[in-house]
Amino acid sequence: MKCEDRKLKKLTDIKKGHQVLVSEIAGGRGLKSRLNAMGVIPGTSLTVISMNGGPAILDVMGTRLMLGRGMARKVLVQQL
Amino acid sequence: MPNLLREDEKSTSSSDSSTHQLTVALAGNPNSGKTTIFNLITGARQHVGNYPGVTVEEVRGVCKFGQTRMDVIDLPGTYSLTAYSAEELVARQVLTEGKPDVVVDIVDASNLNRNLYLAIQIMELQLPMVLAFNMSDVAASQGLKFDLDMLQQRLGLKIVPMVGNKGTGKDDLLSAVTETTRQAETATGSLPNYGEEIERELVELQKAVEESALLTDLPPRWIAIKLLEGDSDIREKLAHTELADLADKAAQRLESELGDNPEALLADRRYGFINGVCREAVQSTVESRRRVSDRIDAVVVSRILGLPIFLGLMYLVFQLTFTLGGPPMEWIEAAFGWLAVTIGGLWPTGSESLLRSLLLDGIIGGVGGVLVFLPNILFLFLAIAILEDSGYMARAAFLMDRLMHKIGMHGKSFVPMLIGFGCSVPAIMATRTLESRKDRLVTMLVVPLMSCGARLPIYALIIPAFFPSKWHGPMLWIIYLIGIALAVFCAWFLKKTVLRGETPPFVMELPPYRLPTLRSVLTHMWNRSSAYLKKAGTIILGISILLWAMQQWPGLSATQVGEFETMRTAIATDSSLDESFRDLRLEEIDFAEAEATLQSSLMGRVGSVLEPVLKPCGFDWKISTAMVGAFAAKEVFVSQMGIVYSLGEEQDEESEPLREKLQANYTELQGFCIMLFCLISAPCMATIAVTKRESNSWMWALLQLAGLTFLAWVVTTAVYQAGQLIT
Repeated sequence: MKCEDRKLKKLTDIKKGHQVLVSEIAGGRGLKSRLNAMGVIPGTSLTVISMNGGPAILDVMGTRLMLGRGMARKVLVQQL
Repeated sequence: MPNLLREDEKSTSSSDSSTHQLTVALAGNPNSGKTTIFNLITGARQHVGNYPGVTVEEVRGVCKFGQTRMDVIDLPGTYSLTAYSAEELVARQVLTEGKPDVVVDIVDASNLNRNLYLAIQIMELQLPMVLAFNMSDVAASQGLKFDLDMLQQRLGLKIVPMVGNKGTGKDDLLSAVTETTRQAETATGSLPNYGEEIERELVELQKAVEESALLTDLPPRWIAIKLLEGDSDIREKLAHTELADLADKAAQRLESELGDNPEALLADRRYGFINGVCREAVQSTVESRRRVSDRIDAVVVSRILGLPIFLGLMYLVFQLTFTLGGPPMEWIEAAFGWLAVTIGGLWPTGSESLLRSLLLDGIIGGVGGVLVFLPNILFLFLAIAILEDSGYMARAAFLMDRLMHKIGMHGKSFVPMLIGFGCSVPAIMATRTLESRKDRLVTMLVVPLMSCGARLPIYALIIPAFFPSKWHGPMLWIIYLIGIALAVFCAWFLKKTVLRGETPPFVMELPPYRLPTLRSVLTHMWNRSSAYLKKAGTIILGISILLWAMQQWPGLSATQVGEFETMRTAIATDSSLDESFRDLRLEEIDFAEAEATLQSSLMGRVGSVLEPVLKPCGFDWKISTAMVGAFAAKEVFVSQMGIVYSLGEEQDEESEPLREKLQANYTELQGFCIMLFCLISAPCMATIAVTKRESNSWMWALLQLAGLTFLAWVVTTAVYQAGQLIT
């Protein structure tokens, strides 16, 4: 049960319209710092606005962020 | 100790009651409306774009408020104050070294949490600060309600609600600024607590910083935080290995204790603090935000339609540029033609006055040739301004990122390259929006390969001279494609060799679509076009005169002139020739003399010296001479060929006689090689000059010059030699 709850997914596996909780950013310092500054830190909830094979568009605290697929893959999330 | 010094400064400045002099720094996130507020309080007319990162360098202005004179510095928009990008470093440098009396942090009220993240980092610098809640009308319409009193109390800062683009809140902001300086000690806000473990390490580090007697008046706590974050810039500046070691150890301890690196931990705590502050003070009622923008984006950046829409829009931009630019170009040409005739008419016909020649051939010819492209440039920049202001450019940069990334470039590089089709000078200036210096340099170096407007007359001269009319369009298209392909190759090559480095992660805020305002679009268009005009007015004018002089001196020796004279008199007095044939012979002698004059002139000599070098490309001394002229400005090539072929000085790309001459003297292959060489070779002087200025180093400018010329030689030689084998 508990294991199931904690299951992390890549952000790229989340469908449009779903809300998720950021668990981890599995990237380099540059990416982490940049995402942190833009409000994507472990514990933030964000909504996927677009995930169609191209760049990901996310709703983070009311603003729209575009994230390249390569980067979105490094954002590990928990589905709510 | 450092604190004492600060207070001294403050008290001297505030005890002077007649006129105050204050330095105010404007900070804020990209797209928070910072530049709008800068313009509002200083009355300046900086361009405001709906494209994150319009301001990269600090911009200064002055503002008077009552008895106070404020020097206002507009900082680049940043999300944070780390050392990862040029904008952040510039902003940080102004805040730490420029010693502003007050910082005004422009906060997009409709996106409070993220905007406060920057505010907190400025607070940690212990600078007196005022928060300007911009776009408070938008926030209200989105159903956000702020308890300003509570926010002010929690943050310990003054907050002024504003609507920058409507001009409200200006006086409130300015009086808050003056008040803040009076109570500077208490206006630095209340700082977040980072929690037991981190605070413990921070206190230790802070103590070490204080004891190490560094020659800096930065707040020790801030230095401690930055050291703990592993900030490369601070470590470099302090150059203190012991402190760095201490910080590394502390970071390791925290990482094993809390399971994450300090940078992430600190970011997390800052957001925690912000959430705590906002929880009670901000109420959100409606969730209907940005629906329209999202719907547009669902189409515009979708995988299937994204690229076609982008390509379609680009096609439209070029179509508009050339069709709308056509008629005004003719007007400008006509105006310069009229000017040349009028000024030329001041002298009797056949006059060999030097002044007349300088005015007509040197100045009017040279500058006129450049100004003719102004309409094209204006329309191109207008289109780009509309795309930027509407918010589309941010999407386009993102769409292009997928492609650009493959060659190691950044999506944002594509905007300068697009502008490069107009003119390389503003294009190189537009590279300022790129965050990493390496990416910026790569883009700068390859931008001249995007065939600019000035090269068009060369193609327009050559293509009809050598190719059948059904090939005109495709030929032009091929030339442009070769330029793009070479730019891609060079960028890839540079990224693999001299400018190796990680491309920074592409994370970009998507601004909501906005209807561009006329004023903003026009300002934008004008700022870029004036860079081009300045080039015409200064460099091109100077070079035109220089080139003209190089063609005049040194003339033929008296004996050579005498020889031509004797030939002339011999024919004129030869009664066996009939009249029309005699005129023809005389004309031939005139041509021969003009050619000899040019060959003996400095310009001709340079061309002759270059001939052996350019021979493998299929060029003779005449083409070589014209290539030298093309270095001043590409389009000079055309008028230069006209002069070389002694067809009178007013040759342009529409001139049939020049085309016939070219056809008679060169092969198709040589014609193609001329275009190829002009496309690739050394960009014009103005480009080199602007590259030097923007890269802040002669090395890169000279590398661009030498590298591109070498590339042009190699490619053209290869094509010419291969072509000769085939034919």
